Parts: sequence; structure tokens; C-alpha cells
Amino acid sequence: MSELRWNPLLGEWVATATHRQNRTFLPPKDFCPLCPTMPGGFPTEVPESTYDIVAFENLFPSLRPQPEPPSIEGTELYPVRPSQGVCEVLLYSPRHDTTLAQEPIEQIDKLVRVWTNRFAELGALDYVEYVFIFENKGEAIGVTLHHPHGQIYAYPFIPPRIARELEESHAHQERTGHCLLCDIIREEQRDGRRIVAENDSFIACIPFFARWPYETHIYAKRHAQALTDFRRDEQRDLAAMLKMILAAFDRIFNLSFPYMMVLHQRPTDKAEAYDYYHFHIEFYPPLRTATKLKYLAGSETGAGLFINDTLAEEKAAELRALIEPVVWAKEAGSSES
Amino acid sequence: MKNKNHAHAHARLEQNKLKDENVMRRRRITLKDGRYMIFYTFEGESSAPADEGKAIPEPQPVNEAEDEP
Repeated sequence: MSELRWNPLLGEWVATATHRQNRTFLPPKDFCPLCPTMPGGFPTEVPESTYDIVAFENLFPSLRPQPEPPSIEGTELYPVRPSQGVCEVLLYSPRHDTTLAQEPIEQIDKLVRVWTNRFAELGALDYVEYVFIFENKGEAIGVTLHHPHGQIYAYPFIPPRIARELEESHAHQERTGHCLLCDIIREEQRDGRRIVAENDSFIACIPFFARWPYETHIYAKRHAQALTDFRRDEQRDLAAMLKMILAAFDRIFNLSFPYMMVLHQRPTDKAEAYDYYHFHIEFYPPLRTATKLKYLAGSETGAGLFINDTLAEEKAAELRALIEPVVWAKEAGSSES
Repeated sequence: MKNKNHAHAHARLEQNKLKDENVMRRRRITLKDGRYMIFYTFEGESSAPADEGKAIPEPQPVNEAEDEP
């Protein structure tokens, strides 16, 4: 059973999805449901292996295009609504033993293009108001399947975290006449201490207000609202920036670094109404040392005040020292010839 | 409003397509339980056999070409 229940205390929706209790949980590698079905092997969810990236509806979705009616009747205080939307899985590779960080930049570039296509297609659905692209990586985050993959939730409303960013961005625009994130980029460039990496189109930093020790943001230098705004050269620069950051993450503790990666874009309805918003990607890695996790405990969860045990300036310097330039295969080939 | 948004997105995608050497192809199938699955391959780099890279019509086109850069 799944439905959306209104939380009048916070003024936001909560999704129930009781069927997700039964989803596959950390199966052995030989029984990965996201690997391609092999001749004579057990039938997985993916019947073919001849793809670069594959997108499909989640077998255990929190939101469905044709949802069942709510299991309970709502009231004036407690409205309920069907959990209509789409939950997709994106497989980054047919190969099980890889991660986005380990993939060549060309594959990450393909992912950026697929993201763009999924954003446009899902955003066109009448019942979708916001397309949220994300990846949960690592058991520390709670992944249940190790096959390299990300997810997309196409929500029937603007989710609360995005709504708050939109409100703050709009208020800043009204107050100053400037884009909030453009001002943040200028501030970070002026200070310099928190910048991790930069290329022609994107800049990465651990922001002044980081909640997590290695929280890293990637900002588009050009004032753009969504993936569909980017030129081809900007798509390639985004792939390059992602590769640099992800590879540096893995070098911090010489392990496959867990993280949540989220893309913050404009809502998909009334796009022109969100010209003040600014595309960016945020990473929330849960590790604070090689063996210690940053937990969301009483203050973070119950009050909303994050306690960061580190300084963004120090962590940015640490991560910046681990950045290595990326090389495209064609460029590497041409330099060898 | 949706149409306007996606016409803009489509224009950007088309613009990109002209500049890109590797065309993205997508092939959509329906799984036994009714869910859709979309295979993305990239011309010239794909691991897919050549005859599988052909695009097929989308049941629900979204102002996009089958080939998107």
C-alpha cells in the first residue's frame, strides 16, 4: 500500500510504501537482480546486456503512474492523496563491479545526456511537477543493491527542500536583484579557500555552510536552471567535473566513498517562472573519518540544526589536494599518436 | 505550459544534436509485468549490435527525437 499523507505540523507530504519492506536486500553478487540476465542464469530484472545505460521503472516504487487509491480516508486535518508519480532506476553499466567514480569520463558524459533526456521526458508528464535525480551509494547510505545505479523520482509536487531553496532564491532576487547562487559563486571565488575544482563551465566547493564534513557542491557557472539548458560543451564539462570530484572522493580514505548525490533543478511546470533559480549538484558523504559516520541524531533530525565537526576550509583543502585532471580517451589517443 | 517548456528543451536537444558526433539512441521495451525499460546506446561507442541500435517509435513521445545527443 502506498499513499501520500499530509503532515500539518511541517506542511509537507509523507509517502508511505509498505511494499518496499519486501525489496531485495544486499543479495550475493551472483544473484544481483540488476545484472543482465545471462544464458542459463537466473532471470534478473534486465533481459539484455547490450546497452550503455538503461532506465526502467522501479520494481518497488514509492510513486506510480497509476497509483492505487489511498488505504485510508483523509480528513480536513489529515488530507491524503494517491502517490502518483514515477520512480525510475538508472543502471550506469551492465557491469556489476564498477562505480560511477571508476567509470571513464566518456561513460559519465553519456549519463549526463541520459539524465537530460529523462528530465525532459518525465517532466512532460501532466502529473509530474518536479524531477529529482539522485544516487545513494554505499551501504553506509543504506543501499540494498550494489550494482552501480542511480534513481529518479518524478514527484507530483515540489518537494520541501527544493521549495525552501526556491523561496530563498526568490527572496534574494527580490531583495538584491541578483541570483542567490551566482552571488554564492562570486563569494566562493573571492574567498578561494573552499574551492575544490573548477573548469570552464562548473565550479566545485565545500560551501561555507556545509552540513557534512565532505559536503561538496557543483555549481554551473552560467546562470542555468536545468540540465536541458546546457550546451554540449557544458555537458562535457559537467561530466569532467563529476569525474574529478568522484575520483577525489575515493582517494580521501583509499576506499569506495559512500555518498548521496542530488541534482537540484527548477520545477518542470511553468519553467519560465523559475528564472531566478540556479542548477547545481550536491553531495552529502556520510563519512567523517575512514571508519566513523556522521549520524543525523537529535539536533539534526529533531531540530533541523546540523552540527558539523569540521571546517569547510580545511576539508576543501584536503579534497583539493586530491583532485587530478581528467583525460578524454580521444585526447589521450591523439596525444599518443 | 508543459508544451512550451518542452519545446524549449527540445530545441536545446536538437541544437546539441547538430554539434555532437555520437548520437544517443534509445529503445523502449515493456517488461512482462508492464513496466517500461529504456536502453540507451551511443552510436559509434555502443556495446550494442548494430541492428539493435535502431530507434523504434515511442508510445508517449515527449517532443523529442528518438536520437538525442
